Amino acid sequence: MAIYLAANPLGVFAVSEGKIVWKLLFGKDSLQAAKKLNSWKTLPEVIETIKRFSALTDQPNPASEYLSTHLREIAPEAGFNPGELGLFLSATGAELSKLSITSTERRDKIIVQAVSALNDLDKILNLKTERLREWFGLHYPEFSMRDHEKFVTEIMAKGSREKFDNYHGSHGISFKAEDISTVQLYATALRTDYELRKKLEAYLAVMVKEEMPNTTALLGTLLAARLLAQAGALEKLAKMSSSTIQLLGAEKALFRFMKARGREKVKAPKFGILFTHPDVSGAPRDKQGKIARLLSSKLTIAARADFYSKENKGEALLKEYKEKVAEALRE
Amino acid sequence: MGAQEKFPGVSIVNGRLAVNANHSFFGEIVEKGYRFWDPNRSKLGAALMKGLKELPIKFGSSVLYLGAAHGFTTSFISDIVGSAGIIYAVEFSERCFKELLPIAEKLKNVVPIKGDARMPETYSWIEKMDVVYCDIADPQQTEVAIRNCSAFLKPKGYLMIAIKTQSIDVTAQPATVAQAEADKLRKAGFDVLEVLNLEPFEEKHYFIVARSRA
Ligand SMILES: C[S@@+](CC[C@H](N)C(=O)[O-])C[C@H]1O[C@@H](n2cnc3c(N)ncnc32)[C@H](O)[C@@H]1O
Repeated sequence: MAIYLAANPLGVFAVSEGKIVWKLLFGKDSLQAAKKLNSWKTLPEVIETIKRFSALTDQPNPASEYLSTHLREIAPEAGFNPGELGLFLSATGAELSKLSITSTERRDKIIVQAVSALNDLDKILNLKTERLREWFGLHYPEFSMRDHEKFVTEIMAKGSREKFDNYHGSHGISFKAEDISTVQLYATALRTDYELRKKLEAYLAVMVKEEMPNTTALLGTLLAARLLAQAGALEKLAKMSSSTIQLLGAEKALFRFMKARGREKVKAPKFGILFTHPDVSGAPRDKQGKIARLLSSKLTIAARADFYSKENKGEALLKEYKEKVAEALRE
Repeated sequence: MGAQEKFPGVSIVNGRLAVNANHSFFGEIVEKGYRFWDPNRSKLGAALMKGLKELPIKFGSSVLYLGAAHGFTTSFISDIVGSAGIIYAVEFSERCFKELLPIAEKLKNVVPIKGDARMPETYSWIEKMDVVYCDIADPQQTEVAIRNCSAFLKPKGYLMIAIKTQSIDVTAQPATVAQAEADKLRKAGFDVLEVLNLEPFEEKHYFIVARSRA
């Protein structure tokens, strides 16, 4: 007859054939209860009981099932009346969770590397896909499919123009079996890179939201990550002036402008990477500079909140910003 | 005031959704015992405005809430279930969780759990629930909800799930995605009671209420 052990905020219980056969109560202090629940398998009394009964402790098990079904009946035996129980559970849940919140370390450097990896990958994907297009184009130049990833998937699946419906009359050169299989091999490897890209982006999204929620509210995860990568670190971004942020990523253009010192017709750049924000790139040309300025001035506040206070006021910032943009577009 | 009670503790007051409570945590308006509930900020609020027929969350209910974020919807559920009810609020983002903690402390019937809904075994110490509510915006979220139901839902208990169709399939029609998720629930032993489109409150979001057959 097996004996199972499980714990909840009330204590550790040994259950056998639907009955509690042993228990260790944690008491009514939430912090103590949370600490014990957090490491119940290492409590001396529990270690002894495990030995004595050869009790099984993997979770979930019939004991945890029993406890979660009968919590309300066990509570009075542990000294809690129904009114007290909810409050105790709430406080113990809070204490238990606080024990697991330990990492206060910054993760911005990891984001910078992951964004750079993503940028590298984008370049590689472009290069390799262009190569595949040129290569397969020898065989079936009439085939067109604009979306890169879909194109790669098609070639991976088919490899030869004979697999396409309308290839008759193609002006391309014929492929031998080994030409086809090699092109397919290349496409298959490339396809894996596209999958990797999706995973990297999803991974970044979670981390960026966590690390810089205010900046993310204004820019979305990918652009927020890229802005951080341009700055190099969150601290640097937080210390930048609004005009520096506006020009992040335009360093080359700025340098060209300074070197020319007005002698040639080199215009001062108005924006760097922020140009890829749809509010800026989508605005009429004469408004783009103004909108980039509005955006970067809100970004200074956002980056400081992300770095110093960690307070999340992203929603409010976004609202203020949107109102100003609407106003600027009306002018 | 033109107030009409839709469900015990949930009213429409001059066209606006409200619960009976006097506190305010997110800047929401409180007037004459009504705490107003912005359906643009809460999928359950949106579902209520879109004519949800049955609200399984009642006074005294126990609810497992997956993806509590900073606790907006949770706080309204807390008002509905009252002091006899309890909400176990699971959230894995540390940042959101830090905002949830002080609110849970004030509400008193919310048990905050810093945990990952994909790993119910890590919070196997909780009790059996009348309702599992899931809003984690994860592509696998229906599967995650089902797993939590088999661990913690009482027999014939209810599952409420918000479906962000965009995070499941961007290319398919939102209605098709929602139906596919409903089918998964049927296969897993649930009767699907309602499938609501949450527009215009939430674009491309659906809300499903289901009940366990066993
Ligand atoms: C759409 S929001 C929920 C909003 C909230 N339900 C409300 O109405 O107030 C989704 C939340 O789920 C959380 N989440 C996502 N995946 C999760 C997981 N596996 N476990 C726990 N929480 C998760 C996210 O951190 C986020 O806070």
